[in-house]
Amino acid sequence: MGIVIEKINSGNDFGQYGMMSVIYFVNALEDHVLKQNLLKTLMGNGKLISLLDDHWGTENAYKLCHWIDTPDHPYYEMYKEAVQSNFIFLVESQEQDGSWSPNWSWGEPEVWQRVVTRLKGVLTFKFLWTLKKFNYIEGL
Amino acid sequence: MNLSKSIDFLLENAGAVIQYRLHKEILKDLSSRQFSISGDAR
Repeated sequence: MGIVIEKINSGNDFGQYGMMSVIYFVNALEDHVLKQNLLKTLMGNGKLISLLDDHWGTENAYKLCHWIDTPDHPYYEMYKEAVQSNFIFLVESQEQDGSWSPNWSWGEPEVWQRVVTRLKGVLTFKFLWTLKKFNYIEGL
Repeated sequence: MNLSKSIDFLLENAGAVIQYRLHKEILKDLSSRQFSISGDAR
């Protein structure tokens, strides 16, 4: 655990995939003060926007709303405009079957075919859950 | 956005944990009785 905290505090450049792992770690922390301090280091200067949106825009594999997934998030106000843009993109990018798909793949094609449906389920649930938290869906 | 299609997709394709969370956290139609029956969803 200390290694991750040290990496965050040293300003390590995690990249979008590393940041996804890091946010799961931070969200699971029970120490509220430590959690807030780490969030400040990771997000407090607005750099998540440049990490996620400057390089790949809304086509990025992970969306800002993976991090800021409720309106109660301490950095929602700072990132509000970008999060709202995420929601517009999500609504527009919903697939015909109602799901959202990862825009990446890995492994052999036959392996990927076996896991992609489950991954679509994880993404679809996460996005529905987040849109609901922000009262973005009528009827939920 | 088509909400019902998303829900149908999850009910047909998602794993047990995701389906459980769909009922509990989004649809809110899960009773404690149903939870104890579908124990593999925990």
